[in-house]
Amino acid sequence: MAFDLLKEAKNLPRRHLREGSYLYRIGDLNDQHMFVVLSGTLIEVDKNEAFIKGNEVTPGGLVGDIETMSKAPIRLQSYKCLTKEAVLAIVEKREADLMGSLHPEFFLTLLKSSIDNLNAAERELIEKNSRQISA
Amino acid sequence: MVTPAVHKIVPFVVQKGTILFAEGEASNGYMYFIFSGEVEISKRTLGTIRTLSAGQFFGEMALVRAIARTATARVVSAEAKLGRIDLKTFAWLARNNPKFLSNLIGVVATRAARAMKKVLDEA
Repeated sequence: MAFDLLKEAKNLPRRHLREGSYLYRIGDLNDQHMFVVLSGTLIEVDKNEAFIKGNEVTPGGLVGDIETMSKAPIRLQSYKCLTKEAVLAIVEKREADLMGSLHPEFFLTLLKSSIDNLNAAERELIEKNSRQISA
Repeated sequence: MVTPAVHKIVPFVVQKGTILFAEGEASNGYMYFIFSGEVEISKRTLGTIRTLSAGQFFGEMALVRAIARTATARVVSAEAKLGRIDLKTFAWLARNNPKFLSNLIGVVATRAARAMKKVLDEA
């Protein structure tokens, strides 16, 4: 049977957000939790909270995994609630390790997310360097 | 450092100058671990990105994306002892040594976090 993150996460502790409230902001201390969206939608906004930066994160989506898996001291992204409300499942690292041992697809999801974020950040740095060189 | 489950990963030895994979070529679906020696990762547009040594790994993108290799991996030490895993072995490791895979993902996530922090600092 295919791995269903939404189903796996539904019995975990929850956090509720209202429209416009932040799950966390860039620079916040990292509480070492990642979150699975159970209902509602989150959106990533930029450092100045002025522009939408990433895609919408809908039910079954995962956020906070980079900071948690890297044990970063602070949050490196900002997410806020886009819908009237959102319900999130809180996933601690040990829970993530357990889930990955039972469902390798979850570890693949985490690896894919890390690779995608690494590639996106490196692309931004390369583009920025190119702009500086041509200026 | 990530120590792989050595009994599941068959090691092989390659000589200096050996190219494990080249930028732009189709992926063979393997990621590699370094047991000894050094491997240089480079891109045509950027030159050498990093030089890796024992306990480190490369080519992990092959496990999650069926796309061409995005960099070239070349042995730069006199010889190097390497191991490689495919998706099937990855799944085996997840079930039998989840701590190892958790650490491996932690290393990639740390690379990502460093790059993301650099983007924020330069914004």
